[in-house]
Amino acid sequence: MSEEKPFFIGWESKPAPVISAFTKKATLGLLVASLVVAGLVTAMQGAVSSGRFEFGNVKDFSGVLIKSPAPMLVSDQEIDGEKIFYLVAPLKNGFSAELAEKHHLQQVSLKGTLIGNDMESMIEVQEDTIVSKGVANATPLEESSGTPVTIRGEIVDSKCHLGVMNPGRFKPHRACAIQCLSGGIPPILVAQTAEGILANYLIVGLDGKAIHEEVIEFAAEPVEVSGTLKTIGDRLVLYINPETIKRF
Amino acid sequence: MSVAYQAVGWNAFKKRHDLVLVAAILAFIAIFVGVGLAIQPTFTVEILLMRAFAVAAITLLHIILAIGPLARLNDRWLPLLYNRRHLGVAMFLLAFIHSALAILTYHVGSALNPIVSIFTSDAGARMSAFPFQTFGFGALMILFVMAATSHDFWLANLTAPVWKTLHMLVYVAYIMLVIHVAFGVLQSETSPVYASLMGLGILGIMGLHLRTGWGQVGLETEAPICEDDDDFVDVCALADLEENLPFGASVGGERVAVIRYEGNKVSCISGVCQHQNGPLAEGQFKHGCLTCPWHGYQYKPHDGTSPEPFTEKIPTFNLKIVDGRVLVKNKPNPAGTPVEPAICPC
Repeated sequence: MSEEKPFFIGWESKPAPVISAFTKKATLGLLVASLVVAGLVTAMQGAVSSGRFEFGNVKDFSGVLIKSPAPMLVSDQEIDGEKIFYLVAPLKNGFSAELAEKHHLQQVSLKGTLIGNDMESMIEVQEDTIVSKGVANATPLEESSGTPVTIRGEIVDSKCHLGVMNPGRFKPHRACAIQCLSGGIPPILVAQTAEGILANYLIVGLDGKAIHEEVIEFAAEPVEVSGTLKTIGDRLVLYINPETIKRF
Repeated sequence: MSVAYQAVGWNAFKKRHDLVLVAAILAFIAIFVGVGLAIQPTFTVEILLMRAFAVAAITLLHIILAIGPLARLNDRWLPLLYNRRHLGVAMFLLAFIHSALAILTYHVGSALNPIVSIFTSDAGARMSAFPFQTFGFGALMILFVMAATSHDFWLANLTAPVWKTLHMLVYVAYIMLVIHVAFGVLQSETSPVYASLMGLGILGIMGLHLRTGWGQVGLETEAPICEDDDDFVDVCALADLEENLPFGASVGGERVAVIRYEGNKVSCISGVCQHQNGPLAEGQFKHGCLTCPWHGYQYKPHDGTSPEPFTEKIPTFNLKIVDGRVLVKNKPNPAGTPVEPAICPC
């Protein structure tokens, strides 16, 4: 009778020692290789922004509400070095145009959650918390004269990009950007300066009115946008004709 | 082996296997999220988790696809093949959690139905609008069907050939997932490490399958018809038969296993296990039965039936020994038909 060849039968209580030893080594090898993959893949991910979303931390804010170029609150006091805050609604919804119109240039108080990165901030306003305290004794934000520009970048929704999602850009985020823009969240063009710094440009129509649906098809794609650049307060605002947006 | 319905036929090996599997998955997710947050603390945890589950799923899928050919190339890998279905179900669950997180993060919260959003947010032939999510969704559906039918209940009711064909769809799912990754996250994560890892994975799986296929060529070529009796085919020389180790051949288009056992008995039964179409010719004679290398299903060589209380049975073949040659009848007997073993003069 020939020497018995080791043979594995799963339901037997104990496999042959030689099979058991190989299985342990193979399992250990696969485990180590898998964990190396986990470490390597996560370590090599592209840099995300410093944006933050203070989810669950509802704060009181007060200041002057401005309806355009996008709904904003000019706060009475600086919060983390910021005085101007875009306003949006919960989930993938923009701030109500009706409310913005109703409270334009009024002194208001509201409750909301702070969103923001190194450059800009935003408040996710809690429903039905806006209280008007009368017409503000304030002048609109200072506006610079326009400069014609052509800028290459990516159109995203401002809410995710400023901190709700890190990363809140590029192809995997495209579906979300489309939903957010459809919901009325202001679009911004994210472009890299020659120094490698990201700059955010709020995009509005040539007449200064909000545009959303018009830019959806270009969301999360590399585009070239031409228009007139103005500074309103500390925000860069790009007045464009959406029909001139080009993919590159 | 099947007697009555059981949710899982647990045994000591399966319990150890699944404990290691769960620990490995938890360690994988913990390392992915932990290292990710340590390097970039502002990373959104949901997105990091979404990616961790995706990478864990596709890593496990590569392991699952590699085990089959590895076990054909070296039978020491068979213990990992034994419980591969549990790996498959675990992989589906990882992919499902990834997709649930992706839907919650990217698609929930607007007026549009989240499932509709998956199919409508990307559309176009441009790389930047290629519908990668549709491919991911399609792959998930295939993996769901496979996971849902992975139990022996479905194997028995669908029959092994249908079940096997259904589960070969894993290769379609794999291709769809490669497209999902290549046109999805690899469009934003541009480190060459990702493309290299994905490329290595694809080449590894292809290479192992090609190598295994090449090794099988000629192993089961059709045995020649016997000159004196055209009902029989000449399978091998008696000297080719090692005791307790079956010899594989193809007879009348059917895979068969010829086995010399208990010293001088020689029998021939189907080479296809009734359970999952496993290669019985790569098994061994153990505990009085020819034992399948994949899951230990057993068949008595003289009648092709499983030992009681099990009920599986496979076709038998008439066999005779003439001038030191093993001749097998070219038509199988009905499954479970007893055939008197030939006695070899060795």
